[in-house]
Amino acid sequence: MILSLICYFWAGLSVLLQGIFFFWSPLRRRFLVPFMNLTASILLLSVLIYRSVKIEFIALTGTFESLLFYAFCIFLISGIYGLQKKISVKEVIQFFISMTALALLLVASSPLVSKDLNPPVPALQSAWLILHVAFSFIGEAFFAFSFVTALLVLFSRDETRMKQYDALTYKAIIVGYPVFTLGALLFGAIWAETAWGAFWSWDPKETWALITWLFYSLYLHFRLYARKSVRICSWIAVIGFLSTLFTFFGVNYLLSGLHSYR
Amino acid sequence: MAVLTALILFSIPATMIPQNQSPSFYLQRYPETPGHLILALELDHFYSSIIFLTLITLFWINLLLCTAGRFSRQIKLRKKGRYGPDILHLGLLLLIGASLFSFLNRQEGSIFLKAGDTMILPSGRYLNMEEFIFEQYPDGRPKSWISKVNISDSPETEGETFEIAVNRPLRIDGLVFYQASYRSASRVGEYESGLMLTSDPARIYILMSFFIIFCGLMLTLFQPRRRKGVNN
Repeated sequence: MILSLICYFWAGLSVLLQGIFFFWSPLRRRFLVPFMNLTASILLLSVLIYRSVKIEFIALTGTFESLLFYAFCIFLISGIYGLQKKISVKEVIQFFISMTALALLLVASSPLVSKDLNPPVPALQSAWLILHVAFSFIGEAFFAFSFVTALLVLFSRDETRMKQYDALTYKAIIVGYPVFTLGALLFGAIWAETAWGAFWSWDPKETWALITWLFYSLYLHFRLYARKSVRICSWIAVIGFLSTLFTFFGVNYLLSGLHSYR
Repeated sequence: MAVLTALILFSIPATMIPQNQSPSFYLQRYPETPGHLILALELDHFYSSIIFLTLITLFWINLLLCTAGRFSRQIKLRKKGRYGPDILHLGLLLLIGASLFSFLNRQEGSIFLKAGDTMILPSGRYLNMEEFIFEQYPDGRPKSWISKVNISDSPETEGETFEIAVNRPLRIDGLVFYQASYRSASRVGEYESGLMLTSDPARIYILMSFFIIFCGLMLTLFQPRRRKGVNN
């Protein structure tokens, strides 16, 4: 529990420092922010490892743990992005990405999310489930990145900046899309077949994952083949990410279905 | 692409409406016009409705034409393109076809057996429930449900013993046995094991399509990209 507190503190500090740097640039150091973000991700990972050791199973089966893992992926991606030399690193992107991860951590800390440490019930004791959850969130972490850059496209007036943000949106989605497809849809279906006896049951969470996937498929087709404007593509990237959020939170709390024990 | 958009738009309301209930349920929950509209549009069983199947068919034809078009263009131009997306699309075509095949041919049933009960499989062999084990964590939450079953050629002969547990189904004689539920037996403290049985001739095609989709995704991700795309 102390470890989680340190995580929150560190992630909060990272975001705070980045906020200060906007207004007080002399303090800015090239590698400080990526370092903070990478440390935050390592701390989150150690919380997950600690919990896994405790229950003697990979702790990735509850809402709390998946949120922690999600934040871990986002901090990791942000940290790695911050260390890039070939592409110009934008502070504003790092700031908003870290904000997103922090927001997820704050949601995880809410009393609505159970933090009880329990070994999993039989349905959740599966390697496919772990692959399903892990890959889904790695993919969604890239989508979170693309969400931030797509929003920046929509808010920027400067043509060259817009192009740079748009290129990053595209790069994030081109990596996130296969990972998400594999994790959320294929591994999910394989697990469903071993656990419930059917690859697909049209349960609301499954359908929403499919809707998310259709949005990102639409993005890729718009962007690559239909040559729609940067603005329209960015809107789809934004809506696609909102759809991942609804798949995760909305379906859990508003609609009922097979995934409700998550 | 219009079909893609239509699929999204039509799928959303169906996730909001509980599926596969009786007609009176909808009329009670959504009084007057909305209830009748739901029933008329088959939104109560949307994923097997005419609208949905039409959309899927359109999507399938569309995908087929696009993929065929891309293939023929690549052959005509005799240049090495990126095959990743095409393989992905082929995988999707197979997946949709296999799903339809599964939808028409998949069978599902369930049975409760207590220790000592025997059932005859369609293959003529016998399944005997040797033991049903229900383990709990110290706090009372379920840890595992395991059925030990014996499969033999006749009730007299000694057969082979298998375990069926949640997430570890038994695949035998074209059937799959799942540990699905349990209920209290007539004697106190004893349980009957609830098994679910499925037979799905399309399973192998679905798994094949998953593999093709996987290959397509990996090729798309790791093959170098060309600057200009082909109009679809």
